[in-house]
Amino acid sequence: MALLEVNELAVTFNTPKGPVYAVSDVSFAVDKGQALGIVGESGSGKSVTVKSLMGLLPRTAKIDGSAQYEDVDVFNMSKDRRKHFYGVDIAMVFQNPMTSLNPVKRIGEQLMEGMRFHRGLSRDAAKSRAIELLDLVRIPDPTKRLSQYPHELSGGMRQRVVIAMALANDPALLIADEPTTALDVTVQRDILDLLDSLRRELDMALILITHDLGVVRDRTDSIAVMYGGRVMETATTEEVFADTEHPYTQALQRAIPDMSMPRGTRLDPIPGSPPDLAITPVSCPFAPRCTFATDECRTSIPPLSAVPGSETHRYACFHPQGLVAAASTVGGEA
Amino acid sequence: MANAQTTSPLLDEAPAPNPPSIAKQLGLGFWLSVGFLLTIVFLAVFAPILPLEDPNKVAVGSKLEGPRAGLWFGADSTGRDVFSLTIWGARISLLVGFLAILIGFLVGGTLGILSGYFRGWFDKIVSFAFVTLLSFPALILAILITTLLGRTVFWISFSLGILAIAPVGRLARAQTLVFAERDFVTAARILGAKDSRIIVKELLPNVVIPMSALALLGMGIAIVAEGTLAFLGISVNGGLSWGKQILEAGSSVRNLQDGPHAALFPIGVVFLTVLCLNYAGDRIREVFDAKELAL
Amino acid sequence: MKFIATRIVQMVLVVLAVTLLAFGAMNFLGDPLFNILGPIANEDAGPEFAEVRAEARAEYHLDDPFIVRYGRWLGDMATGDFGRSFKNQTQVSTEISNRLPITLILMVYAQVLSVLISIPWALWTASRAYRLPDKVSTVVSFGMLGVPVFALVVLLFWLGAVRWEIFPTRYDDETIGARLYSMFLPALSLAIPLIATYQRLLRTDLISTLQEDFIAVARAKGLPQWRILFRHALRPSLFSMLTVFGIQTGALIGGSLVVESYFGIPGIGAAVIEAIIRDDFPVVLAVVVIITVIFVVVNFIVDLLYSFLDPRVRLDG
Repeated sequence: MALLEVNELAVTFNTPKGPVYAVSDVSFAVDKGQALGIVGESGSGKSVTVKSLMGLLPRTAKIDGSAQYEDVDVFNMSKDRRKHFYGVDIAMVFQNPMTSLNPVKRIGEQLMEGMRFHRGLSRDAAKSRAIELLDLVRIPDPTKRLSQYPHELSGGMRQRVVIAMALANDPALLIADEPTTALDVTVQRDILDLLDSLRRELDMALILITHDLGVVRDRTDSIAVMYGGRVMETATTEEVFADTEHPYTQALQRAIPDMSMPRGTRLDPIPGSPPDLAITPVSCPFAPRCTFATDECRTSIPPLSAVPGSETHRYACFHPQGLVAAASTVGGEA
Repeated sequence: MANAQTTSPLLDEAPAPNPPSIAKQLGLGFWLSVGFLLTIVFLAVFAPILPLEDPNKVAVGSKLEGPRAGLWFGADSTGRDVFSLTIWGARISLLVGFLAILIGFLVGGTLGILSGYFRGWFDKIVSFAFVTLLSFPALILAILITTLLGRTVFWISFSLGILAIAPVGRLARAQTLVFAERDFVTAARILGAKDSRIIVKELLPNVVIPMSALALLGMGIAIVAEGTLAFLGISVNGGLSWGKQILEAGSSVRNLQDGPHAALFPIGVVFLTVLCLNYAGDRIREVFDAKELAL
Repeated sequence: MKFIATRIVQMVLVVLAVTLLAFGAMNFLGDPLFNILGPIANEDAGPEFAEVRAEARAEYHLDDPFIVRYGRWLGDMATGDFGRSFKNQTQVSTEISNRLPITLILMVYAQVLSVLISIPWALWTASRAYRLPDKVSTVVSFGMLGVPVFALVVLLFWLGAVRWEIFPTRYDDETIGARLYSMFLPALSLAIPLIATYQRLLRTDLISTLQEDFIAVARAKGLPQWRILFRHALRPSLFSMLTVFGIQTGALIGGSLVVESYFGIPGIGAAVIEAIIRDDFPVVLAVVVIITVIFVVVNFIVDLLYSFLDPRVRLDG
């Protein structure tokens, strides 16, 4: 059974200039202890999706659809359940460690307040737990760190502190929103590997959000590719790489940096820019940038269809690349 | 060129919205404020020829008589016409407010622009003078000067004007620093324009506009300061003023009990005047700042 | 440490400049002998007063050069001797030490009231920014800025003491309780413009702090709203308010003149007004110096507090 199941989620922002359809018809599920990667470029709606789950959207946002976490209806929680839900059941790590920590509070204080509030730990108990957590995220000399301020730590160290903070109350689900984008390339890998090993160690589910398909390749069980506020393709990680259906997923694959590539090889950027979400969607959002787009793509929205023979693989495209290739091979042989 | 013409339908699809006129941007509240201020100024200036009761004439109404037709604000404890007193009080309050700001702008503005433009030792001395002036307890400085020089409209305006020098000077200096770095000033310098010419022709117009907001706010402060002096009994000798009027009507428990209107009406007028000055100044600043950002 | 040293030198220079200005104004713009003796100071008053004049000149050292008198006055002041009153021969320092505490209590009272009211108000409005209660608050606080203290004292006295008869009409220092009670309206008169100033500044800063990532992080930690506001958003938002806190001390001093004379509170504000009206310059000078020192020291403390509010601000900068 899924730990978190999101169904037909839609988020609309009511702005003075009219509604903005930030997220439409998004469904996915995460199982206990499993990792899901949500991949897409900026403006694809991935951050809005998780912010809606975390209750972090402004009041102007209208949320439709449902999100079921175990027996909790996330969008309609009772006040009592909500009091100890975020930070306990679901926790989150943010994009920029430089701004995620309160600059005027000591590391220790920030680590301890969550556990003290949710679990009523004594100061001493919280302190030893904080040291334990810093040790867990492999921060050297944890006792000393407690009395330091964020500005005394490097970016990578700060992100480890942010992760430790999120882990304080043993969440069953951790959401990491582009946790390495703001970091130096040299420490990005360390942080990603840390998240991966923590997930295994703590038997915790993980939603990893990124714009880089390469990041999720070896670290997730399943993947949802988002574009223009919609899910383009979703499948197990294996399926996504073995049998890519959506032209957008293909484009993302071509944009993965690869160490084996000769120096000076240019990555293939995706031409064009993300769609304007202020317009009522009537077409495939990727159509303007897609080389395979036909009139059909420009006049109707492709529904999520299942790949024959797979229970997990779905795509939203009128011209599924893997299936077309398979068909043409079959056709050629015939 | 012809090509550019033919692509104009594209532009027609998204016509650039006409930026609303400055008058519109300032908003209804701004114009209401200006309207109120102009009314007060008009009444104050023409008080002698308007059909008003002599403000010093006692027993126009009965003691602390309430407002009625012909005696709009009622009468005070000696039966004087409170409306007439308020209008005549506005004369000194507004005049002092205006003169003080004029002095503050002439001296502070000049010093600020010069020190911001020339920098160096002159700037250092002027800046220290500003800090010193600001460290002086403002009201006490004003009281000191007025007591020493005399309680006339001019000297009271002068002493309040001195208080305005430092804040005005600092803003002028800051604005000058900003504009002195701009290209058009650098260009003028390279072209060999005289300093005096650059200051008057290039800097002054740019510095004066943002400072008009400060002028309105400062006028409000000066009016309050004059009112405060009058309330303390050390403003213009024998003159009528809002501060004095409010003190006279508000210093006796008995009078406040029997006829609070004698104090409340002038309080209301002072309040509205200061409020309108503050609001108008704020609006100018906001609209101007927005324009600055858009540049 | 370098920062502190620079600031202290600057403070001393400012205080010296202010004393020179004040002492100079008293001596060159006014006539000390006239202030001491009144009309008989004039040479035309007749030869019979020549002896009195000479005595007074000698007693107050009026024949010494200006710089010598200024130096002597400064030196005396440094030892706590503010000289003798021109009018009633009492030691100025005695009078000051009787009256200064009353004024200080009044000022602290007003600041405490302002802070206690403005901070919760700003937190409340910032967490509801641009919604109805916030819009109403913005109008109210703008209005509060427009009421001059001399109008406020009358208004509050009328409402609180005359109409509703909640507060006494006279200053009462029998007990501490009575003193605080009878000082409430005076302190509130001083506090109202401050409350509005603080609320506006703090609200603006809070609104921008609430957009910060670390606030979203605190929310994601599941902390309740009040805790986020008080424990996370407040401290990083206090900068503008703190800066103005120092500057407003000057306005408070000015306001205390009005409040003390209207409510009959025997503080140094009332003393300086009496002294000015009686041309009693030693008292005026002493008050000017004390007030300037208070003002400069408060602003120095404010500078030190910055580093407490934000550990990233170092005092050696």
